[in-house]
Amino acid sequence: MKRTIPLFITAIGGFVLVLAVFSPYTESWGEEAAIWFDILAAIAFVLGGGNLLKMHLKKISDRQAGWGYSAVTVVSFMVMLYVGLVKWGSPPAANQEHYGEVFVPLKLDELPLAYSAEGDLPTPPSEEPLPASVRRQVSSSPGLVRFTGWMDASQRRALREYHPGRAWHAVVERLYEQAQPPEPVRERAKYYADQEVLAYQGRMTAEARDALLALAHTPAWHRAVTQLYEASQREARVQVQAPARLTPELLAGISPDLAYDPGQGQLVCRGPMTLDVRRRLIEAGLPAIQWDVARGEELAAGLAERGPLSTAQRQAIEAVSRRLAALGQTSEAEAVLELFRELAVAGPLSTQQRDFLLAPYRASFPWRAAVDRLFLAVHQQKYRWSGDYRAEGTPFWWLYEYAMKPLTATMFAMLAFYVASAAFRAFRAKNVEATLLLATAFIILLGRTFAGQLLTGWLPDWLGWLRIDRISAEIMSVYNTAGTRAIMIGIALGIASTSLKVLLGIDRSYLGSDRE
Amino acid sequence: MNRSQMIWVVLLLLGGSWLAWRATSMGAGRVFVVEERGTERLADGWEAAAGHARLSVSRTVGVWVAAFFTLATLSFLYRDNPLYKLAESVVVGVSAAYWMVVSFWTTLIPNLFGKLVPDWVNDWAMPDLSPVRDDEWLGYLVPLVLGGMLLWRLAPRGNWIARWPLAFIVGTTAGIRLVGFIQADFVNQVRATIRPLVVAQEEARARGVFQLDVGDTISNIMLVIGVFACLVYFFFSVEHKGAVGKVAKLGTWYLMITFGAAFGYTVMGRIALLALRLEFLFDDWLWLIDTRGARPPDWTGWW
Repeated sequence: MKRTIPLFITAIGGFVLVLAVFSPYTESWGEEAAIWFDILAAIAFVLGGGNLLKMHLKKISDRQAGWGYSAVTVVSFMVMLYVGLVKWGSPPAANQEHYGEVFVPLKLDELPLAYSAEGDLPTPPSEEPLPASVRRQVSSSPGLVRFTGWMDASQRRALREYHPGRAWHAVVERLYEQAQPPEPVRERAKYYADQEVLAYQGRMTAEARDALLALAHTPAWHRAVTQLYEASQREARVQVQAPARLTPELLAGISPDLAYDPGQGQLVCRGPMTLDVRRRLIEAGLPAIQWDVARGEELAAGLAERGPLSTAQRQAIEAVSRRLAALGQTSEAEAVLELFRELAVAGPLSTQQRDFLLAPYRASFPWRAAVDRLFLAVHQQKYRWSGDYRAEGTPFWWLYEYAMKPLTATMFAMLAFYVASAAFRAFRAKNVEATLLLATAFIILLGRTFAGQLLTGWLPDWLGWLRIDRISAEIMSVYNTAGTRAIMIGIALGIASTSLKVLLGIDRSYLGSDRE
Repeated sequence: MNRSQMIWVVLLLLGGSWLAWRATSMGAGRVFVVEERGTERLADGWEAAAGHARLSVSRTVGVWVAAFFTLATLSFLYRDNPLYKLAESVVVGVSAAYWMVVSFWTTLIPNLFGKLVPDWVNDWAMPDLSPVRDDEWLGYLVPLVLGGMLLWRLAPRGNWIARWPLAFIVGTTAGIRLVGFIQADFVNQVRATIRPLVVAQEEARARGVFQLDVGDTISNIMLVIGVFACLVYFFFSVEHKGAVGKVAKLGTWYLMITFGAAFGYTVMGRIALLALRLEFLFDDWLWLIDTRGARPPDWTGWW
């Protein structure tokens, strides 16, 4: 049992993967075995971490020499592990947050919306089960197909693709027509069966709520719709000085849920805000402008009034103005930042000049920040853990970026010194082989740097083949390829024979000794 | 305090004072961010100089920590020392944890728990994962059990239990490599070596005239001879004497050229890494150079 079963497992695992290449029937076995391998490899990392912890904790507990460094290892390991596993500070995944919608949980079996159409659930030619996106919502009995919840276009497409029969397509179409939210909320109400949530986009009106409530009279449905209505009424206000051009009509045009309270100086939003509304609201406060050369001249005059302006800076203004004018509509804030970059490179700017130049850019910050704050304030967070564990700004990212990356990169970089030092000590052109090695390394190094170009770039075309970059390319494509190819063929044969020995149980060294 | 220690202390004090001066008067090592939709985005010096971006304390501390670790690691070039040991201990700890976290979130959650309990995973970690179990979900109990057996190695007794998953890992590795290497490194390499030894110029050929392409012909002949000679050198079942010995000798010359090229590339790769580290120290940390044009030229970080 200790040795025979592992031998069988090795042989079966390996030969299944070999067979998978030769037989289409066993192809999926190979894929499955490869996933199992990945899982075990992942667990091997856990084992590695566990071993590291065990070893260093023992060293600390025994107060062995250098136990303090072991403590550092344990602490850095634990901190990195903790912040990574709990996704500390990681924002939720933007594509899973359904911005602009509110969610309330509602189990699929509590959902009172079931629609049916006469017909039979067919068996597809491939005998595959129903697509995962609709599997939980579709059920059937002889002569009747049922769909629970509302069907969206992608589900309709998935169902149509399930079977090519026209009778089935007719059933799907009948179901699709029925399984839609009522007219007043058609574009806004949704049911996500995978997540088992009832969702609504934007602020729900009392009419919309009543239309939804009228669909069914179960307590669960009533509770869900009422909660959804309340969740969608969330109101938030942010303090901000509205731009002059932001009229109530303009705001209402962006979204009827937006308002500006001039008395309080507050921007108000009722209900969740979509990404599109957020973008339009920001743009409304930061209008696009048509830059022209006259504006550039005006700016140059204003700058000259506030301090010295060099010829290079004047030329920079002209060049940027021409470029911006050619662009057509552009954001004033972005245009000003571009001008600032060019001007600062062309010469120094005084504080007054900088303040004058950057005024429109600076004026845009509070508005952008306020809209961002408002957007987040009315947003209902859906999945706290759905974000990327490596998201920028998280402690895990910080430890990777500022500890692990510099440490590993510097350790590899240090090898440059050791390689150079070893080469200096060992490289001697004592015979043909050593000379070849030395000369090739020298040519390759020169050929890939500017020095190579500098040394032989002047050679005339008829002696072009003597240029170091050409020689270097020839070495790589012919001589190096030949040697590497022979080595690769040798390695392939070696690995194939070693693998066969392992699979056939001839090589059992990986099983260790029989002591235990 | 002996003379050597004194010199070190003076050097460290001078270096520290210079760093403090760079940090306070020039703003060196500062990192700026802009907040957008509740998250921070790295900003360049231009945005900071324009007054938009704000100082990020955590990232600024991070740059100084990274600089410290870089210098601590490079200090090994002088000799082994406590700073290097500290850096080494940190890299061991964070690397082990990093790979554990990566394997947890990228493999164990989607490929193991996502198959066994998809509704649970869907509920909190992966809302885009279908909560419906695959028909073959029971099969994933096998790697779960094997994984548990693998972790048994941490137990003081019964180490042999870990042999089963180990056998699976060895077996699947052997299976993947057996086919993979034969396909990619044997068959494909042999196929790539079968080249025409007489190459005609394409333009002349299009006109229906044969004209030898001398360069490509020589290259192909040298390549085929080279592969053959190297393989003869690796063939140890025949004694390398006489004609075989001469061909094998030619093979060693080819191999020496290959090793020379590999050495050249390795050195270049390492030097490139070193250059990146130096760029980090002089650009991101000390602001002595500005390779990316990320800051206004006369900006001190304090406008």
